[in-house]
Amino acid sequence: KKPSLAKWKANFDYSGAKYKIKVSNVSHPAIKGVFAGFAIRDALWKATKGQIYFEYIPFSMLGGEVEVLNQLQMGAIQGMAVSSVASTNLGPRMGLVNLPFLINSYEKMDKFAGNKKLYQYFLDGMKHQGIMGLDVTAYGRYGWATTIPVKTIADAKKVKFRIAEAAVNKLLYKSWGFNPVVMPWPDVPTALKQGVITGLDHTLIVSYLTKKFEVAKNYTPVNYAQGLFIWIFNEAWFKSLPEDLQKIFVKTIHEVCADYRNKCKTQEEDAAAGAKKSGVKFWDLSEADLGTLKKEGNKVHEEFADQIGAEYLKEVQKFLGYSE
Amino acid sequence: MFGRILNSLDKAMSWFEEWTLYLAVMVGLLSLFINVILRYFFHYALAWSEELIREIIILTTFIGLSTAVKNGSMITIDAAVQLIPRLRKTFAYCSHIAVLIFAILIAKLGYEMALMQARTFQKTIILEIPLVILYCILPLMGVMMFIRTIQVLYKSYMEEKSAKREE
Amino acid sequence: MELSYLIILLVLLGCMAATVPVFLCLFFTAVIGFLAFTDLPLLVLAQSLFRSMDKFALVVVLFFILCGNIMTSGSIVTKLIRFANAVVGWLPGGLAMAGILACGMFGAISGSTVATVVAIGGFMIPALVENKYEEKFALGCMTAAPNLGVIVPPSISMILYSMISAVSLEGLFLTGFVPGILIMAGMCAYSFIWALRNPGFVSAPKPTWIEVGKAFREGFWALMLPVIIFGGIFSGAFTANEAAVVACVYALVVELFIHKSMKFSQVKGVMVNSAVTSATLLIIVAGATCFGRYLTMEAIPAKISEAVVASISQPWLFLLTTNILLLAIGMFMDIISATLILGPIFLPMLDYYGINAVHFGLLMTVNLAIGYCTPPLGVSLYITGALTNRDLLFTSKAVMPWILIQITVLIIMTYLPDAVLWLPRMVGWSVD
Ligand code: NA
Ligand code: NA
Repeated sequence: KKPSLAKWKANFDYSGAKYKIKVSNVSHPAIKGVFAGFAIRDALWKATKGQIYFEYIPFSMLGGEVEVLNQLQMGAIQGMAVSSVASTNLGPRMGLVNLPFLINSYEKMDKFAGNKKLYQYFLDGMKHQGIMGLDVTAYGRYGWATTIPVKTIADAKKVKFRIAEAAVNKLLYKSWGFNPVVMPWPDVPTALKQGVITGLDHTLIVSYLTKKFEVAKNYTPVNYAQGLFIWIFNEAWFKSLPEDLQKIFVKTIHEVCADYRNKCKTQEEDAAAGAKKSGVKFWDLSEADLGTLKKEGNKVHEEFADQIGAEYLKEVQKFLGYSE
Repeated sequence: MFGRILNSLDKAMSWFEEWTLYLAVMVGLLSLFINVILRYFFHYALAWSEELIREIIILTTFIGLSTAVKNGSMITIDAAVQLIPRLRKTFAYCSHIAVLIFAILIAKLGYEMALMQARTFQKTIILEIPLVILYCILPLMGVMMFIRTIQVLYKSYMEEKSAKREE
Repeated sequence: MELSYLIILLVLLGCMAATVPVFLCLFFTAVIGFLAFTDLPLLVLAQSLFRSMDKFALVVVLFFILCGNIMTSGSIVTKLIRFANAVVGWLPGGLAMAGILACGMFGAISGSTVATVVAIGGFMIPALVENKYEEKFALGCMTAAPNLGVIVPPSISMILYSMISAVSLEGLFLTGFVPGILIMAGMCAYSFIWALRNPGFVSAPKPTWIEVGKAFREGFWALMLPVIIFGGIFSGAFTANEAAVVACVYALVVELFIHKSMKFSQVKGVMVNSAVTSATLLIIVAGATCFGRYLTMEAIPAKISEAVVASISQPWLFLLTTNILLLAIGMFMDIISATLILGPIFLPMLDYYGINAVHFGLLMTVNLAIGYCTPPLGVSLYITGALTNRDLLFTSKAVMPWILIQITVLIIMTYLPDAVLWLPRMVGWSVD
């Protein structure tokens, strides 16, 4: 077998590009929502006729997610596909998508993205920091990958969950009465192997592709929220582009993101099949338990209403048919 | 005069360093130990102990470095000095100047980093400590390392002077 | 090689030669690399420096250092040496064997070679010379044996390797026992033969069972320390982190209340010293992270991997080359920076050659441990040299036969992965 070291190299010579942009992501390009960056790179190169080189740096090469987010803020890099969980560190409004049982299916996600007004207001959540959001790709729906089977809420209370570095998730787990550990993603493999954590709050796709099921051999698809990568860019850099290129830039990103959002659902199905085949056990919570989770989770909606914007939140809840 | 200022600074800094390091290690040890007991006997874990201990590592490393400059215990490669002993003094100056440059650089960059955390109101997730406080350790470390290096330089200068007088 | 890489390499080596602290050599090289060859601002480096310390995996370093310091300030070390001497001291070359054994036992508690050299070497070299051992022999033996400090788990290089490779730390720890025991056996055998070939040489009288029992009783609490650490990790009762913490508390309680060889007033000093020692080590981790940031930005690990994979196709040849390379690098670089910088370069290649990542972690550790005793940069050589007022040339020559024994064990370990992997497999750590 040959190593795939050069698998994602650009197959064009970008040395003559007039505009260069560094865009980062902390995850693995095997996830379609992450790979989208390479697709954007190629599509942009073609659409701008070799004027913009979108240098894509995945794999936590520039550090942890919050670290990279700060790099974007200080202009060290010009763009990032930030996960919805981490985005709240700079834009509290972006916590919207992490709220439990609000945007928790592919249909609701499409519906939300289809509403220009509500969607754009969400994407503008970091505008006050000089960061603009253009679109999102997805990495699946959130559930629990655990070392012990989790079939009930009582089971879940025995698990030491790793959750992302995000206030919404922390509050959610507190309201559920669970036992969360907040740690940066790169520390997770060691922590899981050492038993510092015994479960992951993450999506099926990510747990499967990043091989977390080798240790945590159970999955409970709670599907309480969509995991999203929000494609955010330094506004000052964007404004420095000539107007025609700005238009092409936005258009290309929309096209590629829409395409790759569609690919996420299939990838989740493939991941489920692959995981089952490799011996991962799937467990479902009862309707009653899901109801309890939803009810307890509503506290998070209430608590974050002010940060997200109470009016706006109400409008989104109504639009997507969320009720307490 | 200069010597006296350095001397009282040294006392104040040593006091600060020692107590910071002592308390940090003690608190870290106790909180982790309590966590082991809780996990082992009560199947319970403190959510904050992991975050706290990570912050303790940050604190002890960066504050401990100031003491390391004072003690001259930073890890260096002395091979060249061993092979060519007459370069000892020159190399020592190189090393001190390098530390001074680092101290200035990290004080400046650390200050900028801290400002940015203040502007964006970022906090740690569990304990909700404002990140600006944590990042302030960087400029603090820069200033302390700078003063420590000046102290070391002054001390070796005075020793040299008195050695010459004895000759 | 591109010119820019050559400049970076020269800056790094130049700084190191000029006795600039190691972490600064790495940091400055990264600064120059960033300024000259990337368009990223230096703030990124300051941030990396800071964030690299925000790692749970590093906690264990501080507490294993603390545990070692508590033992050295109290009487645990003396009791370990006394017990070892009661057991093997009467054999030909027995006192040297006791020193080697003590290094192994101390190594089973401490994660660092430097701590082992200071704690055991500082005591044993004068003792050996007093008992008519040749100075060269005593010096060589007690410079090389402390390598067990980092080969026998816990081990700082294993902690860092597990951090970057995500292999199980407990599993990796368990691979250190077999080479540790083989090295002890080899070195003891050499002492035995050496003593037989030097006839004028008298060993201590054979102790009675009562005397051995007495040494055991006195050393009981000290001997329980490695048992707790390894019993705990072995049985899965503790993670490595927890074992370190429990060991610290245990050692404190034993020294304060049972041996009464440590006063409450000393506790603060020990903790402060441990924090400073840990700071001097961890700051190298921070410097190496910054340097690593530069390397990844320039895709240097990937370029090296490609070149290696293109020119070497046999796993055995790859392992041989890596061993030679690591031994050579160990001559110039300290174990922390070497692990953190070389690890990410080697790791992506392991799959291609079908080499087990846990096995490789052990090989890196043993290789770089040997580097403690190789000139020109051999930290142990300087410490024992300073203890005996001998220069680098003398200590380097003295340590040669002992290093050859360790290299032999290394070669055996290299080509018999199962010889080290059976232990973690048996205990149930996934090492595949
Ligand atoms: Na050890
Ligand atoms: Na060496």
